[in-house]
Amino acid sequence: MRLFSVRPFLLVALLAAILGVGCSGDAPTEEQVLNTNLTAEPQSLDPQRATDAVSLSVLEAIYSGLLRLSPDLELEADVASEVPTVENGGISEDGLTYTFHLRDDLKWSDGTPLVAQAFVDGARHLFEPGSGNRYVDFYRVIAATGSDGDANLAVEEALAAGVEGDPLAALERAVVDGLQVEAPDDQTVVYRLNRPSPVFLLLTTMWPLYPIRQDVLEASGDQWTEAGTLVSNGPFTLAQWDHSEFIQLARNEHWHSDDVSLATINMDMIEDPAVAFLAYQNDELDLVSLGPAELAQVRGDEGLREEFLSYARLSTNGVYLNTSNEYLMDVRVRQALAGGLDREEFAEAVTGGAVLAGYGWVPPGMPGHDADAGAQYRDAIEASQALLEDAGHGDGSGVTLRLLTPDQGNTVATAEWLKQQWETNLGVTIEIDVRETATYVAERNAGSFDIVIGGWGTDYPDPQNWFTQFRSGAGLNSTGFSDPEYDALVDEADLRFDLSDRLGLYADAQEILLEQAPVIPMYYGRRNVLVKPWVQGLVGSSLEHQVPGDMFFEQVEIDGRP
Amino acid sequence: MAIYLARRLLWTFGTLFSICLITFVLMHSVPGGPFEARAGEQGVSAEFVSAQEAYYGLGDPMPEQFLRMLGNLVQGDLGLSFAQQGQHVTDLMLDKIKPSFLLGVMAFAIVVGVGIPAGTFAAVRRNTVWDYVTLGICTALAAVPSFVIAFLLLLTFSVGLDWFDVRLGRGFGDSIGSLRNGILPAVALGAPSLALLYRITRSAMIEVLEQDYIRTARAKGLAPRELYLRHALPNASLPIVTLLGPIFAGLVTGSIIIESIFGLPGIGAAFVTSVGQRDYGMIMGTTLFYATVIIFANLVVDLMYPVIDPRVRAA
Repeated sequence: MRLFSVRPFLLVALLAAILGVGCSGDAPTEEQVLNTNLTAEPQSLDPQRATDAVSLSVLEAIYSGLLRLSPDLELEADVASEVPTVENGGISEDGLTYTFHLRDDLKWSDGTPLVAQAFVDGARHLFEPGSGNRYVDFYRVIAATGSDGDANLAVEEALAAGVEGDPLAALERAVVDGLQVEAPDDQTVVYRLNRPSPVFLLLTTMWPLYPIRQDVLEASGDQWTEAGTLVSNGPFTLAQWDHSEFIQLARNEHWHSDDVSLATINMDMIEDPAVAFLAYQNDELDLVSLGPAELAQVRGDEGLREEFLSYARLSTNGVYLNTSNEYLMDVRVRQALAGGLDREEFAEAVTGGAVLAGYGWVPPGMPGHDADAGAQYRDAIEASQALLEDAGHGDGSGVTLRLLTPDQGNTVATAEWLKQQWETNLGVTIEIDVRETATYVAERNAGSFDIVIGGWGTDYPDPQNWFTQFRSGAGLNSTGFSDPEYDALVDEADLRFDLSDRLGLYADAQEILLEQAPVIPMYYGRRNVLVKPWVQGLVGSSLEHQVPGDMFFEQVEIDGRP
Repeated sequence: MAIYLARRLLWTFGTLFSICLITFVLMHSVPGGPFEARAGEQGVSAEFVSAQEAYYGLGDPMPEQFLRMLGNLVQGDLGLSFAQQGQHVTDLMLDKIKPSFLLGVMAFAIVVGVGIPAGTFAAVRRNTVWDYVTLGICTALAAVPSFVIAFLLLLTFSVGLDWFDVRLGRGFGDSIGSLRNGILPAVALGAPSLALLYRITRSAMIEVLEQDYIRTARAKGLAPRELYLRHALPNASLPIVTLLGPIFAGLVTGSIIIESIFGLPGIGAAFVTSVGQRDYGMIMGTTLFYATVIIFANLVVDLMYPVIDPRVRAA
């Protein structure tokens, strides 16, 4: 006779197995921690003071603005409930008033309600005198009513006229006092502009218009951005900041969306890309950006190739020419220099395929990019030699030019390559001057160069950001280039709102720019990164800053870490 | 003794003032300022630069700026950093000095703990296989660049043997346990000084061991340990101790290469980066810090001489 029956036992065991299997799939059971490399100490985590890519990587994760840009560079609502348009009344007919309605129940990371006044405070904080923030100039379209007319326009004129010191600070003070940014109620923010701006909505996606906690700023002064005091409104919060060592972000339970999987993001500050690469291989980092040397190693390793991602960086690098130089004032000489280069060889041989050869000024991924722009300089070495002869410098005889370069990254190698190319293909003589960064910028501004290495990375995804710097007399225009037709096209594009209209105008402007060649584009930047297979949902954006995927960390989930 | 110290102190202030003046003149003679340094390849407009510089008083006449800086300095204020906005230079420096000092002390312990015994041993066993082997190793340590040594250590012990993380800088100095992370960087940092100390110890010991009184002591039947440690080494220590001052100063002030590779937030990096960034307060702070450490280390060494060799007077 059996002492006990096995059947109920088996039934219970079977049930337990089924239930056990069913329950384990509900939530990710592994630790949701992402290990990244910030590469350096942020200069500032104050959204209205930060200008470096490192700081911006952190700010993107801990703050949310009124609007944001999708990975396809489309405007989306973030903290606002919808994107303002003329149709929904968010933008006035004359294009001078922008009204944003905030979502309901917005909170800061410490649980207090987020009200519209926080955006007003942020805007005022942006315009304070002496902020040292080069982005401020983009926002001078915001009206600031003063007794003598618009204070922001007055500041623009003063800067152009070289006013500085106390008189300038007084004008800047007037901007803060008269700033036309208002919060008529807790759910509404209104910006009034002093002129129509086709890019204003883009400007609201950027950090200078992030909301801030004025009370925290006033209570803690310079220390308000430390980990214990900073209060933000993004998907993550600043949990720990050991200066020059380490930053840790934690999930913000009060963020307006609640499907964030990651609980923690660790950000180390490993400056040397070779060391970061070692750490990645040792599974201490989940993401890493690759320099040219590391890229070469990845090419030769089949396992690493599976983890490799490459996407556009929205940057163009090349050289600027000083059009007041005795040789370079002749457009034929400039065109000869532009055509006398084998850019494909540069991309392959000098950078190991880390960048893309480029002939046009606006890079791929940017609205306004034209793959055929600058085609006249493709395979144009013979044509360039003929141009040079035409200009009276056959075989480059007698033409000596000074090439100014900084000593960052591969700029010196680029300069050496340019010298070799131009001397071999055109017969001109090139003297290279290497300077460390601050000296390079000072000499460039003083115009003491014939040719200077430089480049441009987009601040916002609109061609306006690429063309205003070549206007006659523009602050950034170190080439001395001045073309009234070009100026007219660029000015006109600022007055239109229809994107295809504006793109047409910018396309014509780009044609003039490339034909007159005060700047010679050489290559377009790429982001080359490695991502561990257990990092799911990482979204790379061409606009991101220092860390791969830093604009969309809220979409990342860890699954399958060994 | 008191008069001696007072005189040294007066000299110290004089030296530091001159260093302050020279540093000030040099750093303002270099073209470009903090706002150009931040701009990079994208450049920045000249109007923006001069407007910012005027706001921060960088456009004022040099003597005025110097006196202003000096006035703040005697109150212990080195000003605000241009590179890390909103932070005081003194706070930044204190944060950075702590890990560098800890690492420097660890490296110093390795240098002294290995260098002196190895040098003594090589002197005693001179011209044998041991001598040549140790000489070979030390020459390699001195000749191979520190970043190569650092990478070799990382590849062997972190990636290969997995005894350490690659990211050693995080949390260094926060607890006793975290000091373990300093072993590899301390070895890499101390390697050149180790080689130097070994060579000096070896030659000083060889010279002493050839003296008559050593021969007498040996003839009297003195045991080797007594002979080397109580008679030879103390007499050889004058040149060794002379070197320990600058070695200590150099180790404690860090190295940008070691700090960059191991991710340590020390002051060695600050020496170099502050110049590139034109962070004037930081440049002044780091230079004065280094000068103070050297002056202090040399003072200690000078005070040690009469202790080691009573024939030397401290005046």
